[in-house]
Amino acid sequence: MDINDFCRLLFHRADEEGFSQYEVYYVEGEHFQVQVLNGEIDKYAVNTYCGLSFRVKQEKLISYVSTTILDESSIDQLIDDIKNNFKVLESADEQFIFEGESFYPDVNTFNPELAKVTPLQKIELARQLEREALNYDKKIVRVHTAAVSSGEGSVFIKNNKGLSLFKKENYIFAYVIPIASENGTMNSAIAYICTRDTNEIDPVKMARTASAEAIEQLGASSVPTGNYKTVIRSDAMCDLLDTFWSVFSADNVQKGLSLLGGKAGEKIGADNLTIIDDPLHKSALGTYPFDDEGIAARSKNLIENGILKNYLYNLKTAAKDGVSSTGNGTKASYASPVSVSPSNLFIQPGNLSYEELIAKMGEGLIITELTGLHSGANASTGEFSLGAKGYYVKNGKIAYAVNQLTASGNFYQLLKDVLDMDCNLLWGLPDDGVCGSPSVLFKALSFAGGK
Amino acid sequence: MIKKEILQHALIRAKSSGADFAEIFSEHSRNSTLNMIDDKLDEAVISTVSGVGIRILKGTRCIYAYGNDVSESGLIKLASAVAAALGPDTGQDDILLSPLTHAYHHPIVIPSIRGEIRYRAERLKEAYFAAKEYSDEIAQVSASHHTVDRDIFIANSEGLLIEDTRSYNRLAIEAIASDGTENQSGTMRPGAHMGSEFLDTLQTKELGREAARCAVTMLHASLCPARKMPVVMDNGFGGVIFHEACGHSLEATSVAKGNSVFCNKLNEQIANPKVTAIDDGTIPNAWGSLNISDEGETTRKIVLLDKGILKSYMIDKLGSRRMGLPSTGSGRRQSYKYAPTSRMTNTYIAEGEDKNEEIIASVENGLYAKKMGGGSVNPITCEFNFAVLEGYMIRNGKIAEPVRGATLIGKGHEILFNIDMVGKNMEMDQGMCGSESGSIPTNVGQPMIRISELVVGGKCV
Repeated sequence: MDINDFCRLLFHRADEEGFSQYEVYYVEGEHFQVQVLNGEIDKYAVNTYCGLSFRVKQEKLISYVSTTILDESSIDQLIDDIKNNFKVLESADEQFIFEGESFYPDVNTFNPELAKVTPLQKIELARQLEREALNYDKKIVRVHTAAVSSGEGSVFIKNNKGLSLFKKENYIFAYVIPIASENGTMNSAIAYICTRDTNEIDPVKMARTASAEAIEQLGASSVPTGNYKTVIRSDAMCDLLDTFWSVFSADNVQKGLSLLGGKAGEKIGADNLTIIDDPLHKSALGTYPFDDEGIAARSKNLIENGILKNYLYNLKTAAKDGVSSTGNGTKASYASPVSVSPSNLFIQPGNLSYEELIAKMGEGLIITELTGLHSGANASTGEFSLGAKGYYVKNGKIAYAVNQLTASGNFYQLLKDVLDMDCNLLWGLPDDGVCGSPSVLFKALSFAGGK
Repeated sequence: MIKKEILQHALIRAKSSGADFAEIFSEHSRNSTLNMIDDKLDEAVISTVSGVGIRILKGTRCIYAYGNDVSESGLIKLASAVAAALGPDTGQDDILLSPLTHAYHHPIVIPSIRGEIRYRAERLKEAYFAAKEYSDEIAQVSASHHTVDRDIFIANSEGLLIEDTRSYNRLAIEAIASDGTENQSGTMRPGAHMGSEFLDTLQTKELGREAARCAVTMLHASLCPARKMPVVMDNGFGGVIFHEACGHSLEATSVAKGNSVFCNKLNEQIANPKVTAIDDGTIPNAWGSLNISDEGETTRKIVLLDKGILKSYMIDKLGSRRMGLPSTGSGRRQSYKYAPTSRMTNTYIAEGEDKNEEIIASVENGLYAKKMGGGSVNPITCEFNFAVLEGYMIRNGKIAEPVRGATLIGKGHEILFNIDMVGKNMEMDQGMCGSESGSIPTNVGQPMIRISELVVGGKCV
C-alpha cells in the first residue's frame, strides 16, 4: 500500500480512537554491497527496506509502535500496541509532537551523480582496492576485505498538527583491509572512505596507506608502562568522540549520566579547544535540514575556547531546561523513540601540519587505533581503558611501531589536557551522527605495556 | 508460512543462472521494550518486523538479497535479483520441498509478547527500586525489559523446509553511584531463550541490589595499577576471555579464509592441558541456544578443545565448502537482513580440578577480576582486549582492596597456554556478540580460572 494511503487510513482510525496528537515517521530505501576476493566477487548483496513508526501522545506521555507491513491489516495491531504501552507508561517530563516551522534550511544530501554509479563500477572499485593493496609490497600476503557499499534512503514525517516533511540522502562507502606477514606474524590495517562525492575516492592512495601501515606494524614492540605525551591520530580521535559525545547530551546531563551538569559557561577544556555540532556542513554525512522531530537544523558550539556553551537538546530536554531545542532530536532507528544525538560533531582543527604536531610533541606516543571502545569505555563516568597501537616518537620523528598496549584515562580530563591539534579534519563513519577530528596532542595518557 | 509451491518457484528462479544452492530465510518478529529511568517507566516501544532474505551460492561465492515484501511477487523479485547478479539465465531445475519437523528443546510457555505488560512493568520496577534504594550513593538507575518473539522458516534447494519459533527475554539494570564529582556503574543483564515465564525465575530485588553493590564498591575503589601480573578471573562472564581470545578465531568465518592464528591446527595443542572448551547450543532455554541453526541444521554440542587440543572448528555451510570439512550446524544470523556465517552459541570452559580457594591462594601479587565487561578481538592477529568491571588486588594469596578502570590485553594464542588453573562451579552469563552476520545472543561461561600472566592496563601513579 502507498504510504499516503496508509497514513490516511491510520489517521482516520486514530481520530476514531480519540487520539488527539499522533505522528507517522516512515523510511524506505535500498542498499548495495560487494566484496571481492582474489579479483572475483566473493559476496554480493542488494536489498530494499521500509519501516513505519507511529507514536501517539496522551497527556505528557508518548507510546511508540512500528511495523514493516504497510497493509490495512496492520492497523488493528498498531492501535492495540499503542494502547498496551499506555497501560504502563508513567508521567514524566513532557514529550512533544511538533507542528513544524515556517523555514527549513536548504541542504543537499542527495547526489544524483552518485546515483548513476553502476554496480559494475562499484565492483571494479573494490577490485582496484584489492589489487593496489596486494601490489604494494610482497609482504602483503592477502587482503582480508576489499568492499564497496552504497545506499539511498528517504524519511517522511507527518502528524496531525500540520507537519509534513520529506528528505532523502545517498552515500558510498569503500574500505580495504590488507594483511601483512613476516616471520609468522600477521598484522592488518584499514583504510576507508564514506562520502557522497565520488571524486573524493582515491583507491590507490587508500590501498597504499593501509598496506604501508600494516607492514610498519609488523615489527611493533611494546613500551614500558608509564604516562606518555600522546598524539591521538584523527581516525582514533573520531572513534573516541563517537564513544563519548553523549557527555554533551542534555538528556544524559539531566539524568546524571554526564558530569557536565551545572557547568554551562565554565571552563571545561583547554583554551584552544572548540567543539562544534553542525548539521548544515556541506560535505559531512550527518547533515540534515531538520531533525526527527521536525525542528529546523542549525549549527551550535558545544565548547568554545574551552568554555562549555551548549548541550545537545531535543524538544523534551529543552522544555525541561527552559530553552529551545538545538535540533538534535533523533531516532537511533525508525522504530526507536526520539532521543538525542549529534549531527556532525567535530573538534575544530588547528594550524599545524601533522608533521609539525609530532615535532611539537618531541617524545611520546602516536595512537593510531583504539580497541574495545564498546566495553572499555563508559560515557557516564568518562573513564576508558582500551587496547592501543601506534608509534613511538623520539626527537620529533616516528622511531618505531608499538602495539599490545592499553591506553587509560578519563575523557573529561582529556578535554583539559589538549595541547594542540593539526589542521586536517577527518570524518569518521556514520553511527549516531558523524564525529570528526584533527589529530590531537595531549599532555599525558597512562599506558600499560608488556615491557 | 508462505505456500510451499511459491517457495519452490522462488528457489527455482533464484538458481536459474547457475547457482548450486539457494535458500530462503523468512522471519516475523514482535519485539517489546520497557525503559525506566528517573524513577519512571517513561518509554515503551512495540515493533513488528516482517522480512525475507534469499541467498544463492556458487562454489564459495555468495549473493544475498533481502526486503520487507514477503508476498509472492516480493519473493520472485528477490529471487530474480540474486539470479541476475550471478549471471544470465542458464535454465531451471525442479526443486521439491519436504517439510521437516524438529524437536523443541527450548520450551516457550508464554510467548513474551503475550505476557501481561503490567506484570513485566511490575517486575522491572522491583529490580529498579531495589537498586535505587540500596544506598544514598546511588544517584541514578537505568533499567529495561526487552522481549523478542521470532517466527522463522527456512527453505532451500536441497529440499529442506523447516520452521522454528524463538522467544527471548532479558532484564537489564545499570546502577550509577556518584559522590558528586565522579560516577561509577554496576550492571546486571540476565536473559534467556524463554517466554514471559523467565521473569518468574528471576530474583529481581537481588539483581537490583547486586548492580548497586558493584557500583558503590567501585566508587570507593582505588585505580588499578598498570603492569603485567597474574589474573584470577571469576566464573560467569569471565568466560568472555575464551570467547574473545579463542572462540572467534575458531569460527569458519575467519578460519576458512586463512584469517585466524588457529588455521590448520586440528589435533594440535593450542592451549594449556587444563583447558577443555565447549560450544553447546542445546542447553535448554539458555540465551545462546537454538533448536535449529539459521540454516536449518540441528544445533549440537561441539567440543572445541579437549585438554587443550583443538578438536573442532565451528563451521557453517559456506565455511564447509571453503574448508572441506562438514558443517557443525553453526550458521547464525541476526535477522533476515544478513547472510549467515559461523557463530558461537553457549561457549564455555569446562569445570576443572583445582579448588577455588587454592587458585586465589596461589597468587602473591595479582588481580582478582570478579566481574568482566565485554571485549573484542582481531582474529587475524589474535590481539584481544576486555574490560574488568569489578576487580580486587590479591596480595599474598588473599583478596584485598577493590580496584577499578582496568582493561586486560593480550594475544589469544599466548594466553591460552597461560590458563594454568581451572576451578569448579562453571557458570554462564549473557552477552550480545557482534560479527559479520550481525548481533546475536550468546552465552559465555567458565569456572574460576587463573592466568599466570596478563597485561593489566590501569592508570599508572
